[in-house]
Amino acid sequence: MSTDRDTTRIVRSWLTVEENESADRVLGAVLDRLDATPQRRTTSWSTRRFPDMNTMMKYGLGAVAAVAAVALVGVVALNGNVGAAPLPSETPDTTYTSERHDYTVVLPDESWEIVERPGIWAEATAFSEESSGLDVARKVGESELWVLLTSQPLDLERDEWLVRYDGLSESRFPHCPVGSSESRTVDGEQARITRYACDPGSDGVEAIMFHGDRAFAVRVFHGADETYDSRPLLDEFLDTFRFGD
Amino acid sequence: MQTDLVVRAQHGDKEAYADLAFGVADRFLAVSRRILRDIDLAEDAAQQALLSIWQDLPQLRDPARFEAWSYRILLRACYAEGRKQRRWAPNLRLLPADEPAHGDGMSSVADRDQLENGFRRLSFDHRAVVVLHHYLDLPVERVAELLGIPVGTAHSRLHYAMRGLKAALDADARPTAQEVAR
Repeated sequence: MSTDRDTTRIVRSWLTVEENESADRVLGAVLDRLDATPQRRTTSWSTRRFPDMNTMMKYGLGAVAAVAAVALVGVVALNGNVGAAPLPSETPDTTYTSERHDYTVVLPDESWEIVERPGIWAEATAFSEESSGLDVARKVGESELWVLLTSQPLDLERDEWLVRYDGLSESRFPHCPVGSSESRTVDGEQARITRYACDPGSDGVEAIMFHGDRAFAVRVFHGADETYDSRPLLDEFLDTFRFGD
Repeated sequence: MQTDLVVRAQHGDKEAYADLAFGVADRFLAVSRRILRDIDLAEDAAQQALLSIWQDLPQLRDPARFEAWSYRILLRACYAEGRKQRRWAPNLRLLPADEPAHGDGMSSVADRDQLENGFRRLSFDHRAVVVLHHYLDLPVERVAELLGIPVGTAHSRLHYAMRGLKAALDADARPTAQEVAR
């Protein structure tokens, strides 16, 4: 059994093993790209502040801005536009329909986009924003958060499919152990909600659902922000998720 | 001196920034390599961090705080590079393990393997604290400042991380069933 002092000594020695490191190549690449890399000098409050805030703060500020906008519209209406014909609704339709995966979902707001990755999703292949066959929903400009949606034909009974899915995931991705599971209803079907904690730094929460002859997966992944809880965002997507006919 | 370079670079002086980058690049690469455990990822992280620093320098309000600010950008780049590879992807490649054994505390190749495995099980947040404290030899208070976290959190992360590494070493020291049976 090593003592704390032994551990410290060994760790320090281990960290200093590779001493002959030179960043010349890195430095050269950076200096080569400097001319083509403009400095960000914007003083806009929103563009300066948002990158440093976590997602929940952004949502909070977005909500405050929305309330303020509604209040402003109300004040304008009371002060001069009483009796004017009501304006048509300007609310953008953020419904997304996936023909290939046979579902629709309403994105949280117009700042979200979905990128369809080509190919076919097979369970236990890399489930990242760059993987084949996924619809990748992301807030434009946000690099820390993705919602991944996909489906595949069901070639087994539902229970058997889940057993195979879990087994493949466990063997292929041992650094992403499965956490707690629970269930909820999505468009009339039971969904299994599972948390994962990947080593290192990222974690996620996933819904697996079955409808007709297809298996569906919706997963939220976020970065290293320790305070962020993926579940509310997953629920936001699942609340509006509708299976195709 | 560094503050003068920072101020000039903030105003778009590329030569000043080159001097600044030259002064930190080796250390950036060393830190990112130790956190990410992969030289290719580490180079990408260091490069991205140096470019981000150049881009965002005009927004640094206090040039005297350049070092802490730049390390936070480096660590963010490490997180991003690590996630790119590790999100549902197989483990990263091990660093080359053929360095000569050191007689100054690194007792065995087995220790190194166990530490490598133990370290990979730590989150990036925990790795960063270990590297900044035990590699750069920064006091925990300074580590907390660099990471923008409370000192208590830095202590807690360091304690947790070192406990994990100690467990990894102790697991290796335990005799196997075969050895006990002999």
